Amino acid sequence: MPDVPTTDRLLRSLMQARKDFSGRHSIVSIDLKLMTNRQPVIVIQATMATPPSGFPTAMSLKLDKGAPFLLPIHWRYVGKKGNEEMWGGATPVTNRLVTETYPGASQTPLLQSGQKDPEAKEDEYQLSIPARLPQFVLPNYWAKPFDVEGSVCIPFYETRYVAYSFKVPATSMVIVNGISYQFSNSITLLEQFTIEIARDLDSLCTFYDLMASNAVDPAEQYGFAGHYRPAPLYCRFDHDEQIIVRVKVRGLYPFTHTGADPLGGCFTVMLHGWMSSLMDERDGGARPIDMGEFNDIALGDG
Amino acid sequence: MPLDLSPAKAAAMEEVLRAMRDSNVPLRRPSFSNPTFWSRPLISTIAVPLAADTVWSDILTVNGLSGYSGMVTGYVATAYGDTSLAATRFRIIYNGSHVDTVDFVSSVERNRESATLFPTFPQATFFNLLSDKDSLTIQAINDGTFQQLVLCAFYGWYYDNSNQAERGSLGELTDA
Repeated sequence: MPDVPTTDRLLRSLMQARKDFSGRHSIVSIDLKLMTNRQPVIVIQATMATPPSGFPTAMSLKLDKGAPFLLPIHWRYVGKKGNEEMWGGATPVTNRLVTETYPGASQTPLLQSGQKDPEAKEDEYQLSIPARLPQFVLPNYWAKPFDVEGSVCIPFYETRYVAYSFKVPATSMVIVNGISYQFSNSITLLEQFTIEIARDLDSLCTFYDLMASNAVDPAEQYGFAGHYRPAPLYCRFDHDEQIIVRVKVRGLYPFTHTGADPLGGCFTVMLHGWMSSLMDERDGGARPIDMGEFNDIALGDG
Repeated sequence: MPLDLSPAKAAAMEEVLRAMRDSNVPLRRPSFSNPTFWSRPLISTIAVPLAADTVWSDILTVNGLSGYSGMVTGYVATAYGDTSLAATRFRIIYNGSHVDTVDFVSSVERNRESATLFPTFPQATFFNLLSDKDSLTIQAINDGTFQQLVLCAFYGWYYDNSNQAERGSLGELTDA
């Protein structure tokens, strides 16, 4: 690994650059920045489009040992001042006086003769603190919407099929708070099916639904969930946990089908919720990866 | 009284406020207001035919879960056909007792936008199944002549609650 200059050495180079170049060549500012690859660079902002000929493109810093370090100099054209640049095409605004208005006579308190005007109450001191709710309650600042869809073909009755499977990334947590689904034309009116949601090997819930209507819109065909009104639920999937949604078509009540009865068609499930980032420390959330032994307390485990 | 603080105290107050503003204090709602990290979904649904009868039938029962309390926040109780004509009545049973504060007016639809429009949607309710011995049941009776298909559901969450105060009393906000 090549030797790199110390922070002090870089700052001295910056001071040297300011000494050498300030006030010349229409330079506005000279700063030391880090590029995204952590490479230090001197950034010169100027109102001249290009540097004058012969202007250095790098500073050579002598190090204690090894080859000198080349500190690049970037010339950045800033053109007009920012405000002009941004608002140059806007309609000019002229300042005008705002006329204060007063309440009408009916709102003026009636004063007895000799009574002083009423005075305002004392200032009230209020403490205002933003509450950060845990991200299993509300999405945090860095959360993304989690609206996903999975499909599977369903060749037979009374057989569980995995319609959706997703492993939550190591830096995220997923809250699923709604589910809706639809079939292709495979099941008929009043046929029932079960939806099962599992977290890894842990089956969180299983519930029944039925094809309740022959409505054209698939969002209006099922008894307990539709795309307009997903069934409400609460499923938390922490990082590295697997979300699994399974479907099993049972047929008409009472259920007489077996796994050998052919069905055909496809099933599509849609989950709704959010995916929070576990990397943010300022969301008020409590996560296993950063709470240490206090984890269970902070997570509401009593 | 206006606050009359010395500059030193005012500075200390500012520091306290700054620390609170910038700190990462997890605020949590009680487990019966919002699911917690360890909560599990509570969703139970059924669609079952109900014959005309003169006695009430259990349609859907949700039980507590061992080690958890259950919070039921929504229910569906409706007939598949036009509720205003279906002549079915519903009631809720909590631990074997009729909950007379939940009055299902017969022939009034509360879980669908129209007699034929699906899906159903839950109405908000509030039942806390404090232990796994508690149960909540929707019963129905069909006063008419024909068999009716009834659709019932409970929605909510189970919460892992080892907090004794919260488990035994609904009045305590112990962990907000």
